[in-house]
Amino acid sequence: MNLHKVIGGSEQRVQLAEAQGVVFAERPKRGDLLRLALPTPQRRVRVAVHRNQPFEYVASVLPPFAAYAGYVFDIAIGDYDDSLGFSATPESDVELVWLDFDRYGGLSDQDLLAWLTGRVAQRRKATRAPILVAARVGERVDAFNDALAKSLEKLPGVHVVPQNELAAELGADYWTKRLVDASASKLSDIAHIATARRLAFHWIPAAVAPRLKAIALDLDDTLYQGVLGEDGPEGIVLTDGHAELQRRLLAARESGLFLALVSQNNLDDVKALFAARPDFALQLEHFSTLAISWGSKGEAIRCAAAELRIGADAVLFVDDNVGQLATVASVSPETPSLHASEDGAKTARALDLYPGLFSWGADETDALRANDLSAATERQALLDEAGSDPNAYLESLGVTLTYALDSAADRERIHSLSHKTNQFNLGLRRLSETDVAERLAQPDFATVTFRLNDRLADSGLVGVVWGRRGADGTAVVEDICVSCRALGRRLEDAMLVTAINRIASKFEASRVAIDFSTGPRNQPARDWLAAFAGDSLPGEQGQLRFDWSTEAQAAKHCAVPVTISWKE
Amino acid sequence: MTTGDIEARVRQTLELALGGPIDDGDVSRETDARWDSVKNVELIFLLEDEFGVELTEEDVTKMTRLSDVVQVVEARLAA
Repeated sequence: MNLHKVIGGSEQRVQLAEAQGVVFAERPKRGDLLRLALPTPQRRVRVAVHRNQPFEYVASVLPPFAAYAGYVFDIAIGDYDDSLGFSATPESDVELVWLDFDRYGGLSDQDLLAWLTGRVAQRRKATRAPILVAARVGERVDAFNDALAKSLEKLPGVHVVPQNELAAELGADYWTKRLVDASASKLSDIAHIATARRLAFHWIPAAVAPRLKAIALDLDDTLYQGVLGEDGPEGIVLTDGHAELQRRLLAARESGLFLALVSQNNLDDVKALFAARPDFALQLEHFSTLAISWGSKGEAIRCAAAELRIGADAVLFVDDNVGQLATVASVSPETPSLHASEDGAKTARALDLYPGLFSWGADETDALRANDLSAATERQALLDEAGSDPNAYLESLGVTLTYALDSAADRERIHSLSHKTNQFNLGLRRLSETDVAERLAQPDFATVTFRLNDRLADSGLVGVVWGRRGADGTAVVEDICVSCRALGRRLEDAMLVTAINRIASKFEASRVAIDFSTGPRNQPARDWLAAFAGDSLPGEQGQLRFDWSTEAQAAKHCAVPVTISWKE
Repeated sequence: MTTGDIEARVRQTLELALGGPIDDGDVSRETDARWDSVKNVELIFLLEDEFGVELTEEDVTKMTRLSDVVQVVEARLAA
């Protein structure tokens, strides 16, 4: 389940739509925020703050932003501590290092960088929680922040919060020269509020939950001004704000989000619209799925999600009609939604800030996703053509699988797969980035990753199998995660047996035990294991054991017309 | 705006800053433990938005009771 869900019934959806004017305002007001009535959030996140400057003024405006995003943040603010001693830190889900760097005036940049990196590395050893380190703000700090980001990227699960970029956006409004003595802070209240918003909408959600995967868009009065059925393709207006919105959506697509069109219109009219409007930045080919009919938009969202092979909770629905948001909530309560403004620029800003659309660094496969999905239709045609001869189908695709064992370079993608995959996630272990790093480094663990491409598209790194050395010559496969995009090509056995063989070889194992667990959506993974074992699974979770000969397994499952290689 | 109007709005603003209702009468920082130095600063942020005024460090030091706050705001509105 995607945890960004703000969710709930129709009434709550209307409440959230009404709150948009406040939470997405260019300069939200403290009083407006504290007066907001929002649905009761569903997920608690414990946040520990290590600081040498006030965080209280940020913390006091976090609740309304967090509630909009579907969270309650339990904030534990540590004592003022320039030395970052991390004393008495309670157990937490996220840790934030919030420093006024001007207090280290006695240190050179180089010494400050080395000291801070050392302190964060020390903290990394003590907690598995993601650690967010706020960047330095001020004049001529870019080189320092670049060096900090480079230095900390070696530590798993550590991210540099771009506080400097936020300060640049706010300009002179970031600082205050008034009330500095009373508040003990150099930041303006505008800065406190903007920081709280980014923490609640971007930085903390991206540290604890997977990114949303698609944006489903209404057409009329959402992507342009006007009603296609009444105004016709030439009569609708692309305002400056809507042009900006379309450009942002295109950028979102390039960052790996699917776009879907969910509109109550005639399909032919919609095709005619895009054909007639080359001034639209968004064209029909940019949408990975079209759900255009006069039926329920709730059902249309579910169909679009199924076609994209993602959950309806990973789709953000955008519509100018609050009634439609409420209707979708009644059919698909897990689908988050955004009320599109008459002013397209306001919708664009809301999308920039919307909880769950930000991610820490681009996943290498994000940009490949849309093209890969487009290729799925052609693959299905080839499969239909091949009929009962699977080898003819695979030969026509020209598939290449490239494997790697314990590849530290794949750490972030492995973490991402562990959290994002739902349908083919056999163990459901959901490892932290720190867990992944430890497994990659320790000799009694084995982590095999694989990349998939064919002549139609490069799917990128689509799967990970991790195992450990068990007792009595057994290799234990603890989890198998495969992206949905890699499924359905009749490759599952070959892909996975090749990976398991490598794990068995590493531990010189003659037996393999495969762990499984039951979740709400991992039936495909359990079906694969049951078919592989030739028997039904014994219960909701457990382990299947096999006598294992790598040669025999390869002969049985891997004799397919696919090029397999290993990356050193 | 009368002093009574200002007092009513200051009272609502103080309740917002402290996160809940306050006692009737002339509440003070001594009688309400929630009204600490951090909440006093947040009260200033809220008052500045509510009344469209700018308060000073000196104003802050005067704000120990509800009636003090009303006087400070009244003075700033009159300035």
